[in-house]
Amino acid sequence: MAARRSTIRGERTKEPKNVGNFKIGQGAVVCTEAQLTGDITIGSHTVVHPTAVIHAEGGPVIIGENNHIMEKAVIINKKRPDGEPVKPLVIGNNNLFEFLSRCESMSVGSENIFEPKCVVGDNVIVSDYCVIGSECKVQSNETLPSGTVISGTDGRRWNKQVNIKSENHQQLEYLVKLLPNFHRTIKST
Amino acid sequence: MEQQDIYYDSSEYIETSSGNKVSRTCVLCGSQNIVLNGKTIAQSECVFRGDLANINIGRQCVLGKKVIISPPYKKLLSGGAFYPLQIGDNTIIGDNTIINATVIGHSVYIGRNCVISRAVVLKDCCRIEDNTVVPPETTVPSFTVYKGNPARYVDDLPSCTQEVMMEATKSFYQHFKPQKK
Repeated sequence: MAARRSTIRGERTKEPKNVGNFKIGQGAVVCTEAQLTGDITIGSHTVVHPTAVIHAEGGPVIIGENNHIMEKAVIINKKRPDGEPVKPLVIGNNNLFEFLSRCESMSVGSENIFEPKCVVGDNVIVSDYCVIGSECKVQSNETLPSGTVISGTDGRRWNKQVNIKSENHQQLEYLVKLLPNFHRTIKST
Repeated sequence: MEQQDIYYDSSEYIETSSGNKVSRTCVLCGSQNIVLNGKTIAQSECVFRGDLANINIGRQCVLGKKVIISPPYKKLLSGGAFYPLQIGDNTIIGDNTIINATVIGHSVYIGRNCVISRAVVLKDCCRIEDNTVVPPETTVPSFTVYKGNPARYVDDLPSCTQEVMMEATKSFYQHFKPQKK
């Protein structure tokens, strides 16, 4: 089935431009409607939905396997002040970035959940099995230990291991089959 | 309170024969699976994910700016699937809201910056206040007001809610006019 476009989108002249050097792993699906700029590596079986944003301004972004990046999620490797060494932003495996979540973190481990509208600042290191709840903000200079759960209006924290791997994996398998029927995907270069 | 006139740039909106007004900046994925039943307004930069499952939106709904409407994923014994998403008539959805629910009833008011998480059911005539996060798989009953993060019951609505919402959406549609040249 060819990529289908709605009549409304067809009349638009300005398509988001994807400029940069992309390495995309086997079985990964990256829609062209996503906005990617800079030096980006995406591991196998990762799904990037349309309107997701990945910017590699201050160094490359390296995303691991089985990650799920939903609509309007933002991943930025921020531009550092002059004189500081260029650092890559390394993201592990099996992470879930939900709608409108914003991740500017220095590094991200594996099996984390970034819930809708959460914000993670540029001096934070996220380890493994963390859950950053909806509309929560983490912008201080710190390392989130393994299994941190942040939620609620007051940003309450506790420690609990949440395993999302099986459900996320199943959903990704379904999406890898489904999305190429409707969208153009970026081929590996 | 009288609804003020809202003028829009007529080159930005597309009007269909059944009276839907959809902004050209909306992202419509899989448009053959999206049904707008008439007189619905979708303002700028909305996202509709019709490629995942069917989306059915009732008559005379108002969708604010940057609304994301995406069908929820449900895990089943025989693998998983995306569930179709239904929104009833005369529903108002505020700006920057994320809708990942299964069913939203008629005459529902959803405020700005809300998150309606995966597989939520909002029954008819309920109200979700601004900045609310409704946790996954919640059911919000009829004639109630929910507020907060996570959302909690705070108040009741009067039994005339359906007429109030019908009047509100009708007057919004009438006052949503193209810019005069």
